[in-house]
Amino acid sequence: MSPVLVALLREWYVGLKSPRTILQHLLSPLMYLLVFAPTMAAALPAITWRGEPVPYLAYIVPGLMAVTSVSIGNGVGISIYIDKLTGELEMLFGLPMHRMVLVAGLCGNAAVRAGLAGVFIWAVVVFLAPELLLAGLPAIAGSLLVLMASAVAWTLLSVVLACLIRSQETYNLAVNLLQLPIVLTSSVFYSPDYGPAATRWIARINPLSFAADLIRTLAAGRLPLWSDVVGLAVFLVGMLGLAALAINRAIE
Amino acid sequence: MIEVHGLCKVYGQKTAVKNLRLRVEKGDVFGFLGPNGAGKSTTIRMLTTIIRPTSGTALINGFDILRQPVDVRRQIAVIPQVSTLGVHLDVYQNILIYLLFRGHGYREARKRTDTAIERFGLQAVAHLRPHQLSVGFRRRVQVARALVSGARVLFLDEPSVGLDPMIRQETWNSITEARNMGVTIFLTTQVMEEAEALCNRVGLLFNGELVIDSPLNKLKARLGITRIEMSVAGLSAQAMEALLRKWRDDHLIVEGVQNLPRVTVLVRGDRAPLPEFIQSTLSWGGRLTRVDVRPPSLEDIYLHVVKGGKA
Repeated sequence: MSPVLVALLREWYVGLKSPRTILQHLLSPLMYLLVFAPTMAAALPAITWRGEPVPYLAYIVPGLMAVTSVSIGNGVGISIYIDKLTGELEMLFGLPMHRMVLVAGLCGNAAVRAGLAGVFIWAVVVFLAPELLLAGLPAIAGSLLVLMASAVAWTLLSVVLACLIRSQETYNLAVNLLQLPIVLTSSVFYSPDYGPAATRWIARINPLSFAADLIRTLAAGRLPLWSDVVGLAVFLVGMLGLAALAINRAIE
Repeated sequence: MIEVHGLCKVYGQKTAVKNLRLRVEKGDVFGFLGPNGAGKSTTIRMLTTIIRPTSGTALINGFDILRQPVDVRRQIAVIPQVSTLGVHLDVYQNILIYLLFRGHGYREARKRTDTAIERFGLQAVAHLRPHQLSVGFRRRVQVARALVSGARVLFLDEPSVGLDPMIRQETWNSITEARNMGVTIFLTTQVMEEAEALCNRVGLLFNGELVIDSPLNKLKARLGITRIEMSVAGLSAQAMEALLRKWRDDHLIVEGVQNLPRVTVLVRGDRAPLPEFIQSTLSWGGRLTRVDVRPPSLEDIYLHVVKGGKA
């Protein structure tokens, strides 16, 4: 069995033994879909995005998917601290494989969770607003792929932070300091064009915006913009490189 | 085989391990002794490629810990002091995943896992998670998976800690069995009985320096220490303590402990100054009722070196 497959099997066992950690990623989008989205849709029936009016519900569903990928990545970071505390991480580092094998396992775990969360979100949308599914199965499959790629990228960022930051308390602080501005300056809940001029340019390079806008475009049955694809890909590859550097320096 | 060439580890201002040089032959059981904080665990973490040495290097079965860490890890299995079991995996999965990561095929890994479960009496806990186990059982799982891993060099950091006498004996038997199969074993311990039972060679690390590295049978002769066990009557504990101090000051003994009526002292050389002991005990109002002269135990040597500051 290849080490990457073993890492994935380990993550599979972890997931089976702790299904609550998967449920937690479903709860937050469910609340947003059932409470936040209808409330906002009542107050703001349509939102202008890239020069066109879009129903708020159609706007926020892709945004929620993108945010879910961030919370999945963050959850993986916390699980690294649990493995650090229990000594399991040090034991795994002492096994005959490259440390990136473990990162591959974590990314696989995140991708599966993201896929499940995406399917769940679309399933809820079927009940709330079936008209949003007009783009059909290819668009949904594409959105799930983007969601999984985004979850992998945020997972890699969490790996980098967990390797650099010794204590989980400091990690939590760093994640909050990073996550809130990223979410608030992105195109998740509203179009950044409404925001202050200072934050508009951040939205243009915000990796969360790339994911949200990609899913949004696919869900609308359109071809994605190259800028979004390249933006997400650069984020993913960049995080992969940083994670490879950081994991080799961990526990020094 | 383990060859250590001038291994050093410095943390800020503190040198944890200083210019360590040693050689452990194939099939040896090397007991790495030393008080807490001597640098034993740091040495093991360097030899097992978890941390990089500040300078120096080591070869494990010919593979360099700096240049060929993955090859080194293929040769070794580690049983650290603390539990390193995955908290989300049950006992069976912990062993299985460990063996799969070590490169065993799925079928072989399952077979070895079954062997470990059976041999170490883990059937009843095979599907429990580590937090549902006692400390002793967690330890047992770690020992079991390392011993069935097929590693050619075993690093054991205090292997008996937390084990009940029966499982401790089973662990010792497995270690001896592994040695008989040509596995090289490097173990740290504070339990001298364990070192005496298992090791054919010992090293003593003190303040990061290796102050003793010797075959066990030669060590006792080389240090020139004799242990004398006496029974003393007619003296209070305070008086006996004062008498031991006087013997130390007069250089009659190297070290002495009392738990009246038993008094144990270590003397240099192989001749006991019995007339002086008898006379001074009498002059303090006591008397010796029994005297046994014995070769020193490993514990005596350990205490002698550690209390004396150096060999």
